[in-house]
Order: sequence, then C-alpha cells, then structure tokens
Amino acid sequence: MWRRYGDAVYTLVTFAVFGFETLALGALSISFLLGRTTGIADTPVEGILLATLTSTASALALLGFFLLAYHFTSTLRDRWHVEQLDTWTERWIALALEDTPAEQLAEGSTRRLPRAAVDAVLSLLEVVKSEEGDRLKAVLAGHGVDRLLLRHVRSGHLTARLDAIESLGKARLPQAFDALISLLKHPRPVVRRMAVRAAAGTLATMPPEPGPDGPGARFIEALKGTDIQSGVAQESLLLLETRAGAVLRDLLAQPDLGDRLRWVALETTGRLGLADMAGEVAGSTSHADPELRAAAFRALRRLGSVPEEAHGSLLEALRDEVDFVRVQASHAAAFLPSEVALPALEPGLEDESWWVRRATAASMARLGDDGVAAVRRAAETHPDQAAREMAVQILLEAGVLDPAAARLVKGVA
Amino acid sequence: MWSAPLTVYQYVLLVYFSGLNLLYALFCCVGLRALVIVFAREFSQGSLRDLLERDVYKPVSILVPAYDEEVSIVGSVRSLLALQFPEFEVIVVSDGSTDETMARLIDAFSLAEQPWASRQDLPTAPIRRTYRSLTHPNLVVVDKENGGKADALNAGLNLARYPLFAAVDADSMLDAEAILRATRLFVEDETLVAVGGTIRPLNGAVVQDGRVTELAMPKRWLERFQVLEYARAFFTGRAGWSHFKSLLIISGAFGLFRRTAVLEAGGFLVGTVSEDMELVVRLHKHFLRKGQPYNIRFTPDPICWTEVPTDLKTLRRQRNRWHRGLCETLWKHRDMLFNPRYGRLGMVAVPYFWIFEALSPLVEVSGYLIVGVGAFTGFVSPRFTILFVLLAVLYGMLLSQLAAGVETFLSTRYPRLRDRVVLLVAAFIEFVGYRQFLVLERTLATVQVPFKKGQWGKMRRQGATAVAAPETAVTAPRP
Repeated sequence: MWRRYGDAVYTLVTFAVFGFETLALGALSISFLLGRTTGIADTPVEGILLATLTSTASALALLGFFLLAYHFTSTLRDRWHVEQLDTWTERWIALALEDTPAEQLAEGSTRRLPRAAVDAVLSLLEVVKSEEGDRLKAVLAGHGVDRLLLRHVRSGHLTARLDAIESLGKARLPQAFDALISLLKHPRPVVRRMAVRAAAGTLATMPPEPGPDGPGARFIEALKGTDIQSGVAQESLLLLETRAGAVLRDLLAQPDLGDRLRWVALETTGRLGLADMAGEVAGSTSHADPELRAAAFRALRRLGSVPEEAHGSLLEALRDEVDFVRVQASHAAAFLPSEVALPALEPGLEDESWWVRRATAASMARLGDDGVAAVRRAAETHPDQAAREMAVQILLEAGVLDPAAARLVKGVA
Repeated sequence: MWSAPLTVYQYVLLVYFSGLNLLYALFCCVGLRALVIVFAREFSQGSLRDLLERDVYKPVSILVPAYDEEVSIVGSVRSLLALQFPEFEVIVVSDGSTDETMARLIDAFSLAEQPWASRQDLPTAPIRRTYRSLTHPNLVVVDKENGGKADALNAGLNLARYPLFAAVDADSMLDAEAILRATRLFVEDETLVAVGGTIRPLNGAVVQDGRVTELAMPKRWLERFQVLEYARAFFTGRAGWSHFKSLLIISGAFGLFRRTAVLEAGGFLVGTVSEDMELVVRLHKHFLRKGQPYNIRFTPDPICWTEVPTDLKTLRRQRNRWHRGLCETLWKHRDMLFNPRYGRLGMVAVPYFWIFEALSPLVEVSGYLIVGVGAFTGFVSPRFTILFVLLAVLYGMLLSQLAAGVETFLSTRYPRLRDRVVLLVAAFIEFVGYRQFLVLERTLATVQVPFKKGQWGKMRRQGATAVAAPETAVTAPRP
C-alpha cells in the first residue's frame, strides 16, 4: 500500500522546513508587535517579512524538487525492483530444490546479498517450509543476513527496526527468537505488536522442546509479562500453527494466568477447533467473570462438543443474569442431547434480549427434526409475538420456510 | 482614532495566520511519522494475509443509506459485495427514494420480500418492506419512508447483526482491502470505538467492476483543486488530530464503528446535515463523561473513493452544507468549549474547530478587507501588503505540497510525473479565485446556520461508480 523508502527522509525534510518556518513566523510576529504597539520605528518588520518569504519560497522549491525527483526515481526503482525480484525468486527456487549449489547463488554479486535477493527469499520463506526452507535459511545465514537483521532490530531508527522485525517474522530464524521475545517489553506498542507476531511465527517452525526452559515456555512467560492487546495476543497464538495446541494447553494450566490471557486462550482454542481441549475449556464455564464464562461457551460451541462436566454450568448459564453469557450458552446448548437441550432452551424464546431469542431459536433449529419441529411450533403458536417472529426468521434462514409461507404465519406478516 | 484597533486587529490576524499554519505543519509532521511510517510497516500484505488465514477478524455490517440513487446504486452495491473480507453483510436502506432505486436493486440482485424480526434499538421512520437477495445471501435491502440520512443509518443499525458496522455512502467505492485494514485496528485495540478512513477523489480514474484500475489526474482545475484539498484534509489534518486522540470528524463516506458504542451513545442524530461529525463528537462526550477508556482513530490506509463535484454550483452547495454542519455540531456541543472536563478535546480540539474552522471564513474575509483598506488609506504600506499576501500564498502552497507529497508514497498514486507537476501548479492557482470563492460561500453558510437547519440540497454528479452515467442526485461526503 505504501512505498517504504524515502518516507523517513521526507519526514526529516518536513521537520526541517517547518522548524525553520516556525522561527521565521515567530520572529515576524514579535517584530511586528514591537514595531506597531511600542512605537519602535526601526524594527525591521519588512526585512524579516522578506526573509520569511524567501525562506518559504526556498522551502517550497526544495520540497517540489524532492517530490518530483522522488516520483521519477521511485517509478524507475519500482520497475527495476520487480525485475530483480523475479530473477532472484527463480534463483532461490532453484536453490531450494537443490538444482543449484549455494555457492553459485550470489554469482556476479558481492558476498552481501542485494536487497531484492533478500526480499525474494523472505517472501519465499513465508510459503516454503521444511527442508527446502531450512536450506534457504542456511544460505541466508551464510551471507550474514540474520546478523544484519538482528543488528537492525536493535537500531535506534524506528523504520529500520520495524523493517527488521518484519523480515525476521518472514524468515522465521530460530536464532532470532530470543531477540524477538525480548522486544515484548519494548516501550513502543507497535514494536511489541510486530515482535510478538514474528516470535510466534518463528516458534511455529522450531522443534518442540518441552520443559520450563523450552521456547514454548519462554514464549508463554513473555506473553504473561507483556502489555499487548488481547486481539494481538490471540493473533500470535493462532500464528503458532501446529504448536498452538501444546502452548495453549500449557497456558491454560498456568496457575497465575491473568483473566485477559485466559480469555485469549479460550478464544484461540475455539477458533482453532482443538476438540481434544474441550475438557480444559470446560473448567472456565463456571468462572466468576462473565466475560470468561461467555468465552468458554463460545469456545465449546466452536469445538462442537460440551463435555459432561460442563452440562450443569451450561444449563445454569441459560438463566445467567448477564445477557451475553445467555447468548453464548444458548449457542453451545445445540451440542447437548436434544432431550436435555430443548426444554432448557425454550424459555429463551421469550427472553428480553433479541440476541438471546435469536441464539435460542438458532440452537433449537440445529437440534435435528425435534428441534426444527419445536421452532415451527413456536412460529405458529407461541403466545409471545417476538418469539414467533424470531422463530419464523430462523426457519427462513435455515431454508425450512419460504418467504411466501412465512408471510402466512399468523401475527408475523 | 482607528489606528490602535486596526493595529491590534492586524496583529491578531498575523498571530492567527502563524498559529493556524504552524498547527497544520505540526499535524503534517506527526501524521507522517506516527501514521504513515508505522502503518506502512505494521499493516503489510503479509500481516493482512495472516489475519485472513487465521480468522482473526471481526465481521462487519456495511450500511448504505440511499436516496434517489438509481444511477449509481447497483454499481456501488456490486463493488461492496466484491470486497475481500470473509464475513460481512451489506444493508442498503432506501430512504423513501422517489426514483427507480428500489426497482433497480430488486432487478439486479433478485430481491425477495421477507419479514424480518429486527431489533428496535433506535426509533426510525416506518419500514415499508425488507428484502433479501436470492443471489447474494449477505445482501439485505430495506425500503423505508423518508427520514433523512441519519434515520436511514439508524434503520440499518437496527438490522445489523455484526459487532462492527461501516457507514458507506451509496455513491462511494471502497478499496478491496479497505474493510480488512480498518477492522484490523479493532482487533488490536479493544477500546477502539470508531475508525475513519482516507477518502480520495475518484474523478479522472478508470473504474472496472467496481474497482479503480487506473488513476489519472482529472481534466478540470476545479477537480484538481479538490484533489489537493482532500490530501490536505486526510494526510495531514486527520492524521494529526488522531495522533493526539482528538479526532472530531470521520467522513460520512466511510467510517467503521463499534455497534454497541454507537447504540449506547444513541445512534445517529436525525435532523442535522452533519450526522457524521455529530456522532463522533457525541461518542467522545459520552465516553469522557462515563470515564471509560475509548479511542477514535483515523487510518491513512483504508481508502474510499468518491466523486467530487465537477461544477461550481454543486461545489457551492456542498461546501455550504459542510460548513453549516460544522457550525451546527459545534453549537450543539458548545458546552465542550474550553471545558476542562473534556480534557484536550475541550481545551484544544473544540476551540481549534471554533476558531480556525467555524470562524475562519469571517476572519479571512475581514483580513482581506483590513489589508485592502489599510493599503488604500496608507495605514499599511503597499509593499508590506504585497509581501504578506505573497507569504500567505507561498505558505499555503507549501502545506498543500507536503500533503500531496504523502500521496507520492502510496502505491496507488497518480502515476505520471506530469500529474505531480499539475498538483504543484494547482497549489498556486487555487489562491487565485478558488479559495476566495469558497471563503465567501462558507461566510454565507455561517450566516445561514440558524435558517437552513438540516437542509441538504441537491448534488449533481457524473455517476462514476455507476453502470451508466447520467445525472444523479446524491449527497457528497465531507473530506
């Protein structure tokens, strides 16, 4: 979306131009005030005005030149970079497939790989994994790219630092893992956010190493100690790919796990559909925090099963005083046996919350023929008009009722 | 006798000019550093792909209020349905359209009438019928009685199912990734209640299948001036205010909101011409009064394309409406002015909008008069007058160029070098008549505020987002 070169220089030019303009306008205002209000006749107002004018014209000329030059050179550079990327991508693919010996890769270039070569291999590493990926990583390390990126990660320049973190996130180099998790304590939120994503991606490719000193455990500790938003923490856990299950299991087993991270772990477990973790999730269905209860039911709904130990808390949650807990519990109730779920769900059809009514009717419709029959009955005969309307809508959405028939249902049309 | 007051007023004008321009400059620097540099890196294509592949997104309801949009509505809805986003619904609300808007929608999307059990969170004008598309399961169309744009948005909000909603003008077009990029911010920040995106003029662009395939500078200078204005407004002003957590405006053409937050604040205000700004100010007020952490942001990334007026008459009406809307909103929330209860919003942002936006046309007109009279009577030397006017013009050009310069870093920029030169020239020419023309219209609007409350006025468009391109009557977004 944005060109990533020249923007820092442009910001500097902007700072310089306006720093100078601020001084000029300040001097102009003061000299004007002195000349006019205190009667000091020889204040050089016009001289300062002329100087301000000259400096503004010069700044405009400088800026205009910069923009035109940037436009021209960036057009050429973009074109050249695309060509180079294509060439290097072909070379890297050949190398990954072992058609080309690594030493021939940088033929005709210096030992340090050109930017296009690094960009091309980083893009490839996002999709190429296993042995081919390792081979590419080894060549990158051979050319010192890992050391260069790690040096940039510690750079004082924000742009260089962010670029390096992004590159390490693509490269997934195990030797960069500790540097990345150490950035989770960085004062800048954007650095923490990008670092946690890059660290998670790297961890996903590292060999499992159980124990308190293993990378998984170090990642959990870093997560517990960092200040990042729940959405970012969730995204990082999802980036763990096949390692996610083990990390989530360890995370949920942490005795000192905060509510925020517990919520994230429950949400992620549900999103990943880790059905074998339903037991771990069930433990949170009776948590004191309604947000956590709701997250646990949402996760169970996504996992598609409600373990027996959670049946009691689920039935209780259908009458929870917090409406969003009732909503999630109603959805999860679709995975109870229908003879248990239907009688427990039916009162929800006349709940004061539109969302609970909707979740109830939708869950009932998912409970097989008995459920659909119960919703149809509600659509036709329920004494509460809101319940009838919701039942009709769910039947329409499920394709059980067509719009023409729906209009004939008493009290809804 | 007049010497002392004139001197004081001249000084006030100088300080006003310096203050305003330095604020713009500050916002430009902040916008560049805080937004573009960070956004360019954090929201890369790779990170967006991760977001999609791993289902880390929040589904969105897109609300499209439409009044007499027969020319552009089908094209607009098609472009929205083609967005790259895994889970969204499009809710078109025809606000008592008197033309063929409904017929075209029914025909194009095979709409079937069906009863709808919607919530009634917000009161609205009566709903006539609700339709669902047989070809696009995520398209809902509501035909309701006329109640204004805010009322139509409220009706859509009552139907919206998802936690986030986007308010999009029926004549605007979103970039394919716009929703994805905007929703990403909600994933990252639970306190976020609203996000405004960048709006760019569509004039001159080539549009295919609801997408901008080629960007070119418009042919008319009137449109070129607006390209500069939009760049100034979005790439500097909004970015700066957003950085200081004091963003007061999210364009009605494209904004993304947390549904529960908007419902809590009471939805869109009916009977104003500035429902977009009014809602944002009310959201600030609501959360500040509750003492609840919240955030309202601008993002330079999600881009919405809109057609800007091509004739002076339409432009006049648009700017008149925008300025009246600004004054209406500021007046309605006048209790925020210099009120420390509202923090930097009450002490900085709202006063800025009063002094440098709402009152600016009056100050500018009086400035022209004073300098003219001063030069004529000999109170101010003609040489000083000329130099000062020249300084104002050059400084304005500098600000325009800085804003337009940000556009150079976009991958979808005006591609030709000639376009860049045209923008440089436009920054100069706009001072010869165009700015004065707009200042006069805004001065008129300031006077009209009490008499034309809630009046929108018809807008003439070419219909760039449309299948065909005859004249249409639509409302244009505020930059």
